[in-house]
Amino acid sequence: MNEFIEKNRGLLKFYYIAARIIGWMIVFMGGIHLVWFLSEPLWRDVKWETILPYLPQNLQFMLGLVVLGIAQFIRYLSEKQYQPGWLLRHGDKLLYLFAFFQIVKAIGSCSNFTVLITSRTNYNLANVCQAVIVGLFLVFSTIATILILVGLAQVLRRLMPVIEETKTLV
Amino acid sequence: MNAFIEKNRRLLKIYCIAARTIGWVLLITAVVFAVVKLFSGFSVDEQHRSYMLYLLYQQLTLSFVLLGLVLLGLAQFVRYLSESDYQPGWILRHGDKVLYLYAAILIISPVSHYYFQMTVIRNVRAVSLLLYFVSAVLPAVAKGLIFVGMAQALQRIVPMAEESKTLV
Repeated sequence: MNEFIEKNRGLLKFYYIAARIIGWMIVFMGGIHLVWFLSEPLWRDVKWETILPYLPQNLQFMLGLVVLGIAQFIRYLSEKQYQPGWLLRHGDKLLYLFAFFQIVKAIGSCSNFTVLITSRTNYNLANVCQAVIVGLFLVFSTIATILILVGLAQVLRRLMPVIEETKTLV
Repeated sequence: MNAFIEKNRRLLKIYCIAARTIGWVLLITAVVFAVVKLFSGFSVDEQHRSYMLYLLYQQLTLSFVLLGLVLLGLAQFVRYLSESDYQPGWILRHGDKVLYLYAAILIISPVSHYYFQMTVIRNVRAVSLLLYFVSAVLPAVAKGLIFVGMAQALQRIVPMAEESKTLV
């Protein structure tokens, strides 16, 4: 493995620099977006109760945190001296939280979708087929995403000691 | 690690079964979508509605195939980590390539979508380039980077796990 890392050191360095830049950009912009979203009732005529269900759709900064976590993980794998940062040490919890928000987001999307479908007046086969396809996509892709996130969290928990063990082997 | 696995063996087994089931359901659904698409004859040069439907089918098929493959690969990986006798399957052995492909599609997709918006259906109401970059391209690049990172990590981790398994 060390040989592989030596051969790809430049690429790995480029990767984690790029991932850190993109990750911080998303965290920063997602943060601004979240503050703007949460402060909406202060400057617009909307109530907290109305905007809160849309909160999971406005948590893009979490994507940035995952990118930063992966960057730390790659750095941890490729550099012997590097100690895992806070994000990596709590990576499994972050992934579980991300999975939880995916569920809440999907529930929100489902309810919006149901409202959209029930408000339609012209029911024909094409419309029904389209609704079924979109519904299936929503359900399956959400379950798959959640399972991927949970699986990654499980794998991360198991792998951190293995990597540590491998690093200490002479 | 072994103590942790022993404690969570049942949960891991349930996870693997669920992931494999959903993974196969996604792949089968993608095949069904592809067949429906093939026989329905949607094409890009038709009207806007047809185009949107075409795009929807295309995205569904691609997303389902790739999500399904990633999920099946992850199930194999969890099983590989938790069972000492289990040998990695085809998807896990080629997992890095699947992840690179997924990353490439994720990054290309918003760019191609923008290109279609501007040139094929000439949607001049399309959002400004900067706004589109921030809202669509940047998250897509981030997701792409996640998958590239996972592929890189996978390439390094499989030998590590193998090494760890053979240690007494």
